[in-house]
Amino acid sequence: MNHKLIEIRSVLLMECALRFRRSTTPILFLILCGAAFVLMPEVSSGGVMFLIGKQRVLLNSAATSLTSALMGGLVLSLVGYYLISNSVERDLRTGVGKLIAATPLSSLRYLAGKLAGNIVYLTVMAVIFMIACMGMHILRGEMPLEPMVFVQTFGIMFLPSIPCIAAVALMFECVPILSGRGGDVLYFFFWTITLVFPFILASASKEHAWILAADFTGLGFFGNEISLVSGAHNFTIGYAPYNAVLAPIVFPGLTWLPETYLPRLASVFFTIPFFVIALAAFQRFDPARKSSSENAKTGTIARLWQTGISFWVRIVAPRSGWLTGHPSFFKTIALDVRLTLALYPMFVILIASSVIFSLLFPMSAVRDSILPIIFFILVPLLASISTRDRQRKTAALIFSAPLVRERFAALKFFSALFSTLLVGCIPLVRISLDDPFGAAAALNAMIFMVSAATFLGLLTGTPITFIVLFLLFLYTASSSRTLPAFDFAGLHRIVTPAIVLFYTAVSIFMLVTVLGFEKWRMKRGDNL
Amino acid sequence: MLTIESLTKRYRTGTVAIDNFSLQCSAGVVGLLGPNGAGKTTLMQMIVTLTRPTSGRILFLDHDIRRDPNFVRSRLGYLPQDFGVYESVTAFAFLSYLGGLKGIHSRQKVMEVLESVNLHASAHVMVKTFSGGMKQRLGIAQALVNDPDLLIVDEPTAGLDPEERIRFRNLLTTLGRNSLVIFSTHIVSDLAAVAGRIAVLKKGKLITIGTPEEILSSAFGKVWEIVISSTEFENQKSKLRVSSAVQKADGVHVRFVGSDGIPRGAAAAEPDLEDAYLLLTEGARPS
Repeated sequence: MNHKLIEIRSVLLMECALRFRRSTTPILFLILCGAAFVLMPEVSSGGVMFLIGKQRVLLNSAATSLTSALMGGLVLSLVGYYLISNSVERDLRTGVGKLIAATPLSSLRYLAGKLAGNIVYLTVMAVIFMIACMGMHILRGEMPLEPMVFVQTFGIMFLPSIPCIAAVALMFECVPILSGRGGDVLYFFFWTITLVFPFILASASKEHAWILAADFTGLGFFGNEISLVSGAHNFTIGYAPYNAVLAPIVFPGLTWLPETYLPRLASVFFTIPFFVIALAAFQRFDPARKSSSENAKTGTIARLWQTGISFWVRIVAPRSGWLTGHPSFFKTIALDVRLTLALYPMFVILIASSVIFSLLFPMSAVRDSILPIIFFILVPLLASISTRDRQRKTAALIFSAPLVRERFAALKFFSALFSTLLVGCIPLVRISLDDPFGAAAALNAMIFMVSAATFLGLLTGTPITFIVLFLLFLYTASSSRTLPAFDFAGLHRIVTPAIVLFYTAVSIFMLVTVLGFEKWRMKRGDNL
Repeated sequence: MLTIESLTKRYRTGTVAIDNFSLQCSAGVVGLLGPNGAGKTTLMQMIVTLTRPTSGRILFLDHDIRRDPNFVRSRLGYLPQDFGVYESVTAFAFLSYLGGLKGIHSRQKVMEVLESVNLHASAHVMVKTFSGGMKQRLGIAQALVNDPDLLIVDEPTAGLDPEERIRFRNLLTTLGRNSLVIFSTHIVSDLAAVAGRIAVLKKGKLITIGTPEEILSSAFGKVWEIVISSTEFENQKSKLRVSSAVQKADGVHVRFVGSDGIPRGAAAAEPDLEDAYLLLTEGARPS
């Protein structure tokens, strides 16, 4: 084999070894199997997987494979990104990158190996999900299993998406401004755009069918196929009320028309520009270029922030003498909040903007626009509070201070809560003047958000879990305008006391669990 | 073998890490000595092509490494100060991986290198179970796996126990017979034991370069010892360039360097390399 290919293979094999040996990988496999189980309900018990209009679709291989491939594609394009978007970052963080940079391995071959590693990992996930879905079809399908139908459907749904997601992940890692927590949030918005826009544009006019090439999730392809086969534009996946009198529709399978599958396959070519951007931005672990790009990334904000910090240190901090002296739990929380403000300039900007806009704008705008924006921006910031100490290996340092180790979970919860209230207090006060119950619901939502951030952050040790799950929740909540259960913050004004109580109960459950978990870890001596 | 000509590294922030630095080295062990922030690590990062110089050039075996970085990379062994390892693979897998990237695909070679750093018994053990010293030895092994013509090691003995340190120093001496080894450390005794030449850096500039004996000779007649009371020591310590101070029953035994303002009662002492280093970095102005 050519030595260049051998090098790419070496990077790929190491990437696979590192990913598949992670303790979370078997858990992920189990989750995929569980997802297949949940996705395909028992028809005899009234469960439904797929509706066209109000009519249930018979669970034959064509229908189950297409539905499960779509759902898998949606999840893989979102969660898959967060699973693979740490391959270059890992080499940077561990310091192995410097060793690699001093070898003759070119940047192109290094990134090609990383891309291949991402593709293999996502493909294995997709294949496991497909096998799980085939197993569920045998158990719950209404027609015999046709394995080739599954293979073809999963192939057309996943094969074009996987290289694109793999390349996008690499691009987000290599482009300085897209990397880090900000990039994680940006990707979510990128995902929502690619989820919705190709589908809407292609549905609006046949002239825009080429836009389906940018349909990474496969939703547009799915909608197009349903409309071609059944003439319907209205479909539902998952449980929904249906007309049980009507006989189930038999979905015959994909059309395999060139005008549908060619744009789908063409989306694989998006891999190239994403990869080229990644290659152009890759800094080959050069410490000088990295630090200068970090400076560029924060730039003006950082300089403004430094001015603010100087002001704080000279004017405000000497007056906060109450933070010194005999340690108390409250002082520790206040110090952690102060650290948050010092670490994240965005937090202070958010506080200032929230105060200014909440006072200037009408009440309806505070509730409809400002509060949802606050919720979205708080996600990456809150995700960092509970995870930063262990991620940056400063936990051992702060645990040597009194009252920290034993109450770490409580400290992180209250620190995140006070930080959130710094941002949210003025909007809450304004809402309370008009609608006290709405303000109480929004406050409860903030507590729920902080509890979730603490719970998921401490349990998984990574901010990614909270970022992905909560952004997904926020997205669902903000687009479900008629379901009271999702109006967790009263933003749609359909929240009920029962819903508020439900989210309070979930918050308490998460807090009690995480407090117990931290206590258990401390007893085992591994909570560093 | 290695020629550095008027090398300068200026960061965008304006900080000059290396300032018009020139050096010529042939096979042997060259020690780099200097205080924190002197530019040792930046200099090494430029030689290993990790970062680019702002101006000047580096020639290795007459090849400009900026124009042909792979020439030096394929003949290079590099152990950075803050390197890391993949925790969830075995030492053998990790070394095979980095060896493979350097064109070494022989399992036997990988085992030989692991043996040279005394890790052969743990070759198939996960790296996450290794102690800090074992990881450091694995780092040394990856630097040696391709029999480099140029070995650059930054603080390699940090974390090694005394026995392993001696073993590593012997290894460097052996390598230095045919290859060029550039070795940066704060442990002056390590340099004294292996370096044929020592280059002293301060604020990005080369202050001096010479054999350990030449460096040492610059300190003759400038090292002193005195026994004084604790109170007197408190008064004197800001005025003296103290290299060591030990509290004993008869008072504080102070060793200091300098040629002016020597207190009465101080006796001349035999200098060591640490004294010479202190004199050079504290006293001399970079030229």
